[in-house]
Amino acid sequence: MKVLLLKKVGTFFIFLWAAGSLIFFLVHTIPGDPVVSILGKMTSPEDVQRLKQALKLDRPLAEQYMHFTKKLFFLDLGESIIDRKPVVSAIMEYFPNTAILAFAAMSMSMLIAFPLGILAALKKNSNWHTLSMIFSAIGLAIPGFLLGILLIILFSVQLKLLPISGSGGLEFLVLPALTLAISLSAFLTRMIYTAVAGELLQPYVLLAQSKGLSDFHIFSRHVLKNAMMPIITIMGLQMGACLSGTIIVESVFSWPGIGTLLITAIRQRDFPVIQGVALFIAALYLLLNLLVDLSYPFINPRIRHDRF
Amino acid sequence: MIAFNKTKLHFRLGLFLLAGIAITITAGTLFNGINLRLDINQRLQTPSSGHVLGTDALGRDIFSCLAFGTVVSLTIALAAVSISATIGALFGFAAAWQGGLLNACIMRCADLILAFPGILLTLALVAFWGPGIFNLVLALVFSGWATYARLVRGEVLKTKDKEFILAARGFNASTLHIACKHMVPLIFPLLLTQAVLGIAGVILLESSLNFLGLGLDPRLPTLGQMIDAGRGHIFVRPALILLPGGCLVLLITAFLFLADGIKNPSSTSAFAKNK
Repeated sequence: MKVLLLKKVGTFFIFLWAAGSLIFFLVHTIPGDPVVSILGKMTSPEDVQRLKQALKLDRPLAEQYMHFTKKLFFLDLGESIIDRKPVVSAIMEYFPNTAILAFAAMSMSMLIAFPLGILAALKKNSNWHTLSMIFSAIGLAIPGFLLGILLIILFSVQLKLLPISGSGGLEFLVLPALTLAISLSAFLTRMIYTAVAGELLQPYVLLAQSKGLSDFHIFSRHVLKNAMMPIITIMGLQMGACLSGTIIVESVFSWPGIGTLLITAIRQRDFPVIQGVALFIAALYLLLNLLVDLSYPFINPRIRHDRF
Repeated sequence: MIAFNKTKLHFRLGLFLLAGIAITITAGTLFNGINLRLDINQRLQTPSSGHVLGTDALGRDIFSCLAFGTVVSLTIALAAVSISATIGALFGFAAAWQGGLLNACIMRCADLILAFPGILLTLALVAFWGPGIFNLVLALVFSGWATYARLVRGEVLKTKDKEFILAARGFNASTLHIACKHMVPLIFPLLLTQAVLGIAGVILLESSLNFLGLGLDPRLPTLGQMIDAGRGHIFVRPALILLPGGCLVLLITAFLFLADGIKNPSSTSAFAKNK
């Protein structure tokens, strides 16, 4: 078990380094001179040279890469070209907001998806089934940014209940979290339905029924436990979807998270920040996947011995 | 082969939607003409005989913009998906067939691409390379091929040691012959389903990028750009958002239905990943 644990953690760090390298080399695929594209075409050659020296872009590629790897090892992501703030401190400043948004959205999506998915599976020939399938079809087909704007039109413009965008109290959190939650739960509902409906067909359900166990007991103690495995995997993947969803949703609602930080950096062509934030999100995603992987043996003791 | 019967309805619905979109665009273009000219005197007009759906904040005919945006979305999605599915299928086949170092190299690359969640990699690439249709398709292919490679590799590994393949090899059939005659018919339905889902996913990605102003030139009326521009007139004319939004949703729904109709065996995960 310990060996496999070490292996998984090792793979995580290798991927982290590889993702960092990929982003490093991608920055060097910027067509033309990146410094010119930062400063604009009207800049004097001296200024271009000065910024190049400051960003160490005049050194050979291999040396730059060594420098980058060394800095990455000490969690130093460089500093912003615009306001000369370290990228790490900018991320630390914006990330709590993203975490709040993601957490709220994940909890909301579970609150929507579990009842809908389970009801759809338990009452297969009822309106609940139709309703939840329609909900999930609509949720899948509407892009996050459009859904956000539609919710703004409904709740802020027509009903005047919630603020359009910005941040502050709890009322600012509702719409962005709801937007993300609907997108996420559309897929989750379908998965929960498939998992629970599949388990209900298993012979052990029949056995439990013939033993005279109550439906509630069968469902809560047996079916749900077995159905949780695929659902946990999906929810792990959903955290990734949630992270990338926040990028778009944050910019719709001007929510001050790392998504907004990233988009602003892209608009200002602030390459160190783009590089740092992209790497941070990728690292977070890898970390979440690692945690999901590590949680399997606790949820399902059967794989504790043979696979883990 | 492809099981049309079970979910025939979905397949027909998808085709119906796509045909409807195509007919509307063609008919509108024939009667109305496509006119993307700016006309500042004609800003925010309500529907009239000259402009069937009215005009936007720059005085452009909304119907023409919608038609243009839809065609652009479709073109980009078809180009990006066909290229990435082809590259992914070739890589996946090579990885499974050859095994060893090649397999390790290709699959680790695919893993690395898939380590970036959803829109992130495409977004970063477009940010680095700048807007434009070529860069956009290139970015979508760069981040899109890995899913197909994984799918094809898994399928080839499953069938590689089946008796009929061994028999074909025993008859000294070339790799190309086995790939074309034996593997393609088996894998194609799966790949097609994935690709149709992929089209829906790419339309979603592309419109999100255009919404952020990072896809094509922001002056062009793409569906995402129109929704972004409509935000400024949300109180006065929500139709500026609802029309391109409706178009986008119809387009995505059509491909989701179509994919469902070609029978997808496992899930819609490749699509959901992009959300």
